[in-house]
Amino acid sequence: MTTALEVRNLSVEITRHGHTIRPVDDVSLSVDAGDCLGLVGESGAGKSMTLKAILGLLPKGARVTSGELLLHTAEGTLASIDPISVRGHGISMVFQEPMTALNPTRRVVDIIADGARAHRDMSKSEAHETAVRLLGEVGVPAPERRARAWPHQLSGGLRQRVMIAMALATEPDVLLCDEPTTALDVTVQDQILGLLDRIRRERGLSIIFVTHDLAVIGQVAQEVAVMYAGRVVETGPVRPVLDRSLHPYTNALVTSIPHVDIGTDQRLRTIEGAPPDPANFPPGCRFSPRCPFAQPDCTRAEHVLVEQATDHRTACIHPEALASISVEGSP
Amino acid sequence: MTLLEIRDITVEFPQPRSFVDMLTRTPRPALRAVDHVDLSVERGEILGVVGESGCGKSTLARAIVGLVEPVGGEVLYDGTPLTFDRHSNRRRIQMVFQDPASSLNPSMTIGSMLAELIAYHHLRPPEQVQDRCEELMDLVNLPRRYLAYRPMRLSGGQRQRIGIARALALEPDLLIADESVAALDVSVQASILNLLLDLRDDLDLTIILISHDLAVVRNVCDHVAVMYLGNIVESGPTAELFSSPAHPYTTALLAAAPSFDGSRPPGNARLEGEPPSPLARPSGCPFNPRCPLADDECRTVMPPLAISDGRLVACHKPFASSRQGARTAGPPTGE
Repeated sequence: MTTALEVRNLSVEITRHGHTIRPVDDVSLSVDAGDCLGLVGESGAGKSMTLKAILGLLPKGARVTSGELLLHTAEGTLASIDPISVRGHGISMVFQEPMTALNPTRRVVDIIADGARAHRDMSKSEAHETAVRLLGEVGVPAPERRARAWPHQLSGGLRQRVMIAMALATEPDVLLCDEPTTALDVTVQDQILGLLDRIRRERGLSIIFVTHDLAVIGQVAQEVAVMYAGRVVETGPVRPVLDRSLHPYTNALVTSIPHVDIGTDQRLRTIEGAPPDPANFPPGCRFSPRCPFAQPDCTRAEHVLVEQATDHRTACIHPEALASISVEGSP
Repeated sequence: MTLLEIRDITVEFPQPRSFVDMLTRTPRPALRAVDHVDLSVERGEILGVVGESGCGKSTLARAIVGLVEPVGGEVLYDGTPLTFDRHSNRRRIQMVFQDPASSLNPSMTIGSMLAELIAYHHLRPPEQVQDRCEELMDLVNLPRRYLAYRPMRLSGGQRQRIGIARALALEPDLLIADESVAALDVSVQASILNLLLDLRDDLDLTIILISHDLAVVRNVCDHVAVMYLGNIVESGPTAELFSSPAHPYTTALLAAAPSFDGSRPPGNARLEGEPPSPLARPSGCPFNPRCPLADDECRTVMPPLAISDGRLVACHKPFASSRQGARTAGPPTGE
């Protein structure tokens, strides 16, 4: 399988009032062509910041201090590229809040057609046709009529479909989705996830899907990367990572979420403490102050992702501690 | 023993009308957010109310605590009807809101906020107020020194604990948690849910948990009521309702919930469209435009909430959807 997008050693720094913090620290990710990579973590883990850095959309004051972005080219090789040159062209993004991300002064058809015309050489009428066709493809009922609508006339689910149509208008190879279903109801979320899964398979699109919801990851992703305090702490194929986690943080996340299918009829497990402040990360393993398996050498541990099973990498230096409790039949 | 009984409650919000309508004296259109709902809550149980946005679950909660006045029906608390004037004794029903950041006064310290409540209701003699505040902090597992802090200094989970302490300050029997964990991270969400479970056991509280998250309800609640467009469409014990849903909407909700183990592919619910606006309610069953099993009866006759095989359900074809299974229930939609 060919790699569609690779991010190598990405670091982002923000300087404010003379203090520098590093919300994204040495993050490496890769997504294969036609696959969906799930990026999970709690708020403040740096997942959205990573996506924004990939597209060069970092807020004022934040800058990429190191890292390389490689995109699959027509020649079949990975080429180093500049975020701004690929924004919208090879990589598109679907944002969380569809109301604030759609221009309220433009009709739906124009929003989509503008994107298509900015990146592809086409006439106004061609762009218009493309927009209506895309609206049909993303499951907007009566696309010719809805194309004339303003964003505020659409429901949340339809707005998110328009966002996806807008992202597809530039024919990207990679789609970045930043919590695209968090603001939606569960039945609408199911429709949008179904839609993203279908266009991924039909168009051979690669998706990086950022979410805090592990159940959604279990449904749509093939690969997963877990972020904690600005770093990737575990990566691998989705089932091994969720079912046989090799990092205590992933394990804690998995056991702290309630499930629909099985009722636990008992207290949920919790993670003690709170995520660290980016201005003051603990030394060594950043999860160690909250980790139930922490040992003295954890505070001196270097952050390296080590392959423990096929394609399954963890930054934990004591994965055996977790393996021993898993065997005893805990969740 | 029944603690709270809601009988045939209806809440409407009048809508603005046009100038012409005003001149012609056309009555104001009304948005019916809660439509003839009956519900009873047993003492000591946790009742979950689930549904999508706009289904009226929050309005129902606000009607119970008295923040909105229903146009019809009554709420019986311990057998006596509650009135909707400001001085009625609603102290024993308290609410925890969704967003702790906007429901706490930013200019007051936690201590003064709690002390004011206790003093206003004369729950403790003045010299014992401080002790009671410290006791409340212990109840919600926060350090006592936070009494001197303002809400801004606390994290989201800690603020939600203050929201719970604020409700507990009035020594309620019934706590209504309206999406109280929706805005929190997963690990914090788990600790707040555990806190609610502990409080139920320690203080013998009754809790109504309002949530859009089926997984939360599945793990915490004893009974569940499912709402759609202002109506309760199904209610019953949690485990039974989740294993064999009687209403096609419940079936669809469960099929749409993301499955952690990947057993349901995305798009599994095969449910088209979105809930209609309460201003344009469909005739007959409110779910019929989206229901894969709808026929002419469903489109014309509103099914009553009635007991069918030990489950309260408002459907002309109870259990038909779960017997068929969600995957074959609907026609293929192409998605």
